Amino acid sequence: MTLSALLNRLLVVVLVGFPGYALGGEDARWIRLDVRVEVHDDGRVDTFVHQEMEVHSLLARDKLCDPRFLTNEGQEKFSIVRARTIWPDGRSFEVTPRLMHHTTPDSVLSCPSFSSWKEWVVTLPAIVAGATWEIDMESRGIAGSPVAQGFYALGNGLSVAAGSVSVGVPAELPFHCTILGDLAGVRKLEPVQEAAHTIYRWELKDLPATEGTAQDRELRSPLLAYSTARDWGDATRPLAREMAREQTTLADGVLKSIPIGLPQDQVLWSILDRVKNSINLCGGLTTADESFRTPGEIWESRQATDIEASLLLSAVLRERGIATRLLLVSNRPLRKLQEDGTAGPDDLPPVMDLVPHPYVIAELDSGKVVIDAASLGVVATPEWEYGNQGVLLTSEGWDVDTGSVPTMGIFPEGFHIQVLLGLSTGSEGDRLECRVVLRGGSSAWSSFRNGAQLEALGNWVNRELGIAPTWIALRVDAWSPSETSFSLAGSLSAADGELKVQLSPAPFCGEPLARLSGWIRHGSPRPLPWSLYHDFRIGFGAGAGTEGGAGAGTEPGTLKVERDYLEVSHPPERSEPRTQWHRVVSLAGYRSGDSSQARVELVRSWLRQLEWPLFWSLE
Amino acid sequence: MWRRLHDLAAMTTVVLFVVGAFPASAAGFLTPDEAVVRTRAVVQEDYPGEIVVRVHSSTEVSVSASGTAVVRQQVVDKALSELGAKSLSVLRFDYDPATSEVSLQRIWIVRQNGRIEEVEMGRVLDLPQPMHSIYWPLRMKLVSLPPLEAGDGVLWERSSVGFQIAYLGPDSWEDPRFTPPQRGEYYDVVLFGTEYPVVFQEWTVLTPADKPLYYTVANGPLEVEVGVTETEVRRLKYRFVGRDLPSYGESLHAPPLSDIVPKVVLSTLENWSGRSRWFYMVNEPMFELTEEIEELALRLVEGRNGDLERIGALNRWVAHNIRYSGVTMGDGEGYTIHPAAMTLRDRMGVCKDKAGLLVALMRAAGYKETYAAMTMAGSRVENIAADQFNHAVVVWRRPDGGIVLVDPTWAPLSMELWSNYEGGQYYVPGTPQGDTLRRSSDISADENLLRVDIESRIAPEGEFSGEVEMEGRGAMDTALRRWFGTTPESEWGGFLDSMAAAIWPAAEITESSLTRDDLEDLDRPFTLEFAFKSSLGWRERPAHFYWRPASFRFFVEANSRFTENLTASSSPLRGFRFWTRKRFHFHEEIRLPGRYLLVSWSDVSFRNSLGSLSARVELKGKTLVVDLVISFDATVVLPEQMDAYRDLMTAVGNTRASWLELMEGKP
Repeated sequence: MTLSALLNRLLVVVLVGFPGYALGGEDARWIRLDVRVEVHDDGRVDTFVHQEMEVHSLLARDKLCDPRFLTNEGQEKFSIVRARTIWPDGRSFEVTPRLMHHTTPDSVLSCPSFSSWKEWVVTLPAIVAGATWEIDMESRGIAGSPVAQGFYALGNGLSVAAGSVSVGVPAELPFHCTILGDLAGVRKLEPVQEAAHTIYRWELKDLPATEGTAQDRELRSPLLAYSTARDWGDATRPLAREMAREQTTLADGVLKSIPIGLPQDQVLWSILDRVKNSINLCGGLTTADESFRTPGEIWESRQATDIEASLLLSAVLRERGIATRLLLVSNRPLRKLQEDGTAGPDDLPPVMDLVPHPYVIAELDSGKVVIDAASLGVVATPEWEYGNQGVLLTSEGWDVDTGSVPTMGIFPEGFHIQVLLGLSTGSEGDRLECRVVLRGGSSAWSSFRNGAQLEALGNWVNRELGIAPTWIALRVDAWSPSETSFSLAGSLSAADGELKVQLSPAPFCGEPLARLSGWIRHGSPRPLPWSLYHDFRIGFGAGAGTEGGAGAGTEPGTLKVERDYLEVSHPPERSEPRTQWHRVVSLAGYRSGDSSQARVELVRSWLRQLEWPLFWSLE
Repeated sequence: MWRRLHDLAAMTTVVLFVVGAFPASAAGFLTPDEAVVRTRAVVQEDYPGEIVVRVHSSTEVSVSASGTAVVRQQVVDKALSELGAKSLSVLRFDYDPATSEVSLQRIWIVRQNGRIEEVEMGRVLDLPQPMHSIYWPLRMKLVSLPPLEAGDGVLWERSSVGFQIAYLGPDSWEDPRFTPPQRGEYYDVVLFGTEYPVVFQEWTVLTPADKPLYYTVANGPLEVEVGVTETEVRRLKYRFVGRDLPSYGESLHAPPLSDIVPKVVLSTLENWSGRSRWFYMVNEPMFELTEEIEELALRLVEGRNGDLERIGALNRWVAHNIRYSGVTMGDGEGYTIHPAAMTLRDRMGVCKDKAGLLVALMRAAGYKETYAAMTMAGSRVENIAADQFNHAVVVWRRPDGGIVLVDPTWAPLSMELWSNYEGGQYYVPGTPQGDTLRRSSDISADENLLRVDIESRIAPEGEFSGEVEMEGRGAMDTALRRWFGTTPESEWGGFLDSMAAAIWPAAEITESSLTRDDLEDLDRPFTLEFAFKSSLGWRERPAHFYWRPASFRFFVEANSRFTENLTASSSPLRGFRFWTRKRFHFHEEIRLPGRYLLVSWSDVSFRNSLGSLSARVELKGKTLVVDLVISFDATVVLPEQMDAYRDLMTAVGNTRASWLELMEGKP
C-alpha cells in the first residue's frame, strides 16, 4: 500500500502540519500547485509535488511558512528537491540544510512501534508580506503493495490560481481515480496513453478559497482519490483477513481478569476498560511495511493505530461470543466530479484512506453498542457522521457494504436530560443536591464515565447555580451506555434566597452539537452557537415554597420552580427550521419529607428530524 | 539566600560529615533484591487515587575541573493500576548531542511476584525529538517496554555526560562538546517531587575541592549533608534527600513545578556578576552592525519623537517582521544569540535572536547602552547564580541609570515595550561590568483594565437591542487584539456570535467595527464595538420580570486571557498562577420598556487580599444602570490562600448568577 501511505502522508502534511485550512483565502493563496503520481507495476508509487504559495499576511507567515511533511521511511524515500523564498522584487533565498529538519511525530512518543514515521519540517527564510515560497518535493516508493490506493488534499481551503494533477497507472491495472469535494475550478482532461501507462489528468484554474469555518474548509476542499483495487472487497481484503483470524492467545492477556459468566454488557465494558487502560493509541500511523498486525501482536505491543484498535477489540469481543462488525466512516462529505464538470451523487471509490474513522459495532443481545476505535470510547451513535459515507464489514463472510451512515440510534427518542435538585436543611445550613440523569445517545456522555469531564462539569454546574467554583462534591452514581447519572452537592451560603438557573445542554452534548452543525448547515460560514439556554428560576427558603408544582407558597424550606418568564424560540432563529432542538417535558417542584425537590427534564429530539437517506440499515 | 562551605556554622539544616562516617545516609543504587523489596512494600492502599509511585530515585553527579558533569541515575517506579502500567510503558530520555550524551545502562521490570526481567537494550531507539517552533537538532532515547501490568515496577539506570546532564567515562569528560560554555563552572536546578508520589529521592554531587557550591533549598525542607570525601583526591560532597513527597499533578493554572516542589538550586559561581559578564562576552560579537541594520534603524525611527517612541518603533518592527521560528546556527546554539545580520536575513528566530536583532537596531539608532538579558518567564528565580532562565529580552540603560526593559517576542499586536504579562519577572542583563539579578516592576490590576460599556434597550414588544464598546489597557488591550488578530477574519464572526449569545441566547450581531487595520494600529488603544439584537419572545410587556444584565453574564468569557481566574480549578497542593493582575469594569445602561421598580437588590461590595468586587445597580427613571467592577489583584495564589480565593470567587459567582427582579410601578 505504498500509494496509500504516500498520499496519507501528504494529506497529513497539508491538514496537520501545514494548516492551510486554518486560514481564509485572503491571508495566502496558492500560485501554483502541481501533483504528479506514478503507480508502478509492482505497486510502488512515486509522487512529485510542486507548490508555490504567496503569503499576504503576518498570520499566514506565522502559520504557513514552516510546512511539515510526514513520511513512512519504511515505504518511501522522501526528499525536498528545492525550496526557496522569492521576494516581490525578485530576490531569492534558498533553503539550505540547516533550514530542513528531521523530526519525530508526536504520536510516536507513546507508540515507538511506529518509529518508521518521521516528519520533515522546512523553515522558509526571509518571509515578508507579498513573498512567495516554493517547494519541490518527491517521494519515491521503496516497497510495493498488491493494492495501491491513496488520496491527496488539494489547496486545503486556500484559493489556487493554477495547477495540475496527473496520475499515471499501468494500463492493465484496474483503476479508480477521481477528484471529490468542492469542485469549482477543477476540469477533467482526457486521459492520455504513454507507453504502457494511462495518464489521468486534471487542470486546476482559479479554484476559489473555500468559504466557511476552518472545519468547513478542511472538509470541503478538493481531494484526489485513487486506487488499483477492483472494489471495496479488494480494498479491505487485508483488513477482513485479520478480522476473520481466529484468536486464541488473547484469552491469556486481555481476558484473563474478566470472569467467565458475566452478563454480556459487563463483559463488553470490562474488555473496553482493559483495552483502553492498557493500549497507547497513535491515530492513523501504520507499521513500517503498512501491513495489519494480528490482534495478538497488537496486544503484545500495547500500541495500536485506530484501525488496529478496532481489530483488537473486535477479536476480543468475538472471543467472548459477542458478534461484531466494523464500520469505517469518511470524515468528510464526498462528492464526485462528473464528466460535465458538476458534482455528482455520492460515490465512494475503494480508497481505504477515505474512510479513516473506524467503529466497532458490538451486537449484544440487548442491542447494539458502537465503540469509537479512535478514542476507545462508547458512542451510542456516531451522530456527527450521519450522512457521511461509510464502509461496513459484516461478520458473515466479511462482506462489504457501502453507503451513507444511517441513524444507528439505539435511543430513537433522542437525548434526555433530567436534572433533579434537592434542598435540605440541617444544623450546618442548607445543602443543595443536584442529580443529573442523561439518557439517550450522545457520545459525549460516555466521557463522564471515567471522570474526565467531571471537574469541568462540576465547575459549570457550580457557576450556573451560583455556587463557588470547585468546592462541591461530585460523584458518578451510575453509568451505562444508555444512562448516566451523577450527583453534585454543596452547601448554600444563605439560609434562603433564590437560585437563578440557566440550564443548558452544552456540557452534555455541546461538542457533538457543534460538530453536527457543520454537517447540517453546509455553506454556513459560522457554527451554530451551542449554548442554547433555557432559563429557570428556582426559589428556596422562606416565601418560595410550593407543593406539587409551580405556584405561590410560603412554606419555609421548600422549592419553587417555574419556567422563566422568557421563552427561547423553538427552534432558535439560526437553526434549521426542521430541527427541534430540545423541549421541556417536565417542570415541577414538590416537597418530600424534610426536603424539597425540583425536577427539570429536557429532551432533544432532533435525531428523528434529520432526513438523511438511509442506504442500509444496521437493524 | 545562598550557602557555602564556610557558612556551615550558621546553617541549621546542614550536617557536615565525612563520607563513610554516616552509614545511614548511604542509600545509593538499589540492588535487585532491594528493588524487589522496596517495590513490593508500596501498595495501592497507601496511595489512594494514584496510578504510579516513584519508589526510589538516586542521582550521583561528578563535576570535573572543566565543569563537565558526569551523572549516574537510578529510578524505580511502580504501577499501581492498569493506567499506571500504561503510563510507564514507554521511557523517554532527552539529550542534546551538541552538548551531552546519554546512555542507558539497565532496564529491569520488577514483576509483582518478585521476578526480575531484564529489558533488552535493543529496544532502545535513538530518534530526533519532536519539534515545534524550535528546530534545534535535539534527540531522545525512546524505549518501548514489554507489557506491564498493575503491580509491576520499572527500574532504569542511565548515565550522561555534558553540561546539562551526564555519563560515559573519564575519557569523554574532556570532549570539547561537553565542556560547559562557561568553562570551569557548574550549576543545576534539581526538583524533588513529580506528578507521582515519591517515597525516596536523593541527589548527590561531588565537586573538586576548590569548587565549593553556593546553593539554596526552596519550597520545603530537604535533608542536607555536606562534607569532604576520604578518597585520594579529596572532593566536596553535597547530598540532598527528600522522603515521602506528595504527587504534584497538573491542573489548569497551576504554578510551574519549580515554584512549588522542594528544589535545590546550586552553582559554583558566587554571584550573578560572573554569569552576566559571560553572557555579555559570548553574545557581544553577535550585535555587530551592518550597513543594512543601520539603514533600517534610521528609517524606522525617522519622524519618531522621544526615546520610548523611537524604541517602540524598533521593537514593533522586530516583533512583526521576525517570525518566531528557531533554526540552529550550529555551535553555541541554545545559549548564544544569532548574529543580528543572520536574524535580519532569515526573518526568523526565537526570543534570543529577536532580542539580538533589537539590540543591534537600538544601538544603530544611538542607544549604545543596550544589552541582551536572560529572564525567566512564568516562574521564580532563586538568588543563586545558576541558569534558571528560559527567555531573553533587551535592556536599555538610560543616561540617568534607570533601566528600560523591552521584549520583542511578546510584542506582536501589543502596544507595550515590556509586556504587562511579565510583571515581577526576574532577569539578569549581560553587561561588560557584570550585573545582578533584578526583578521587573509589578503590574497593578488597574494597568490591565478592560472597560466594557453597554447601552441597551428593551422595547415593549420584547425586542432587545444594544451596543457594546470594549477597550483594554495593557495586557487587556493585547488580549483583545490577539483574540481577533491571531485568527483569520473569516473566524471573527464566530467570536462575536459567541459574545452575543452570552449576552442573550438568541441574540445576533447586527453591526461591528472590527477591522484588521484597527487591530494592527498600535499607536492607539484598540476599541471593539458591536451591536446586537434579539427578540425576547414576549407576547406582551410583562408587569413583573427578572433580568440578568449582560455585565453579570460576563459575556467576554470566550477569551481565556480575560477569564483565566474564572476557570481555575482547585489544586490545594499547587495553588494558582495567573498571567496578570487585571480589572474588569462593566458599565451598562438598560432602557426598560416601561416604569419598573427594582425589587430586593442590594449593592455588593467585597474585598480581600486577592481581589475585590463591587456591583451597584440603580434605577434612573426608565433606565437601569449597572456598574460592576471585578479586580483580580494577585498573579500567584498560594495553597494557604485557597480559602481567600474561594471567598473571592464566591462573591464573583454569586454576582454573576444574580437576577434583578423588576416590578411594574412608580417609586
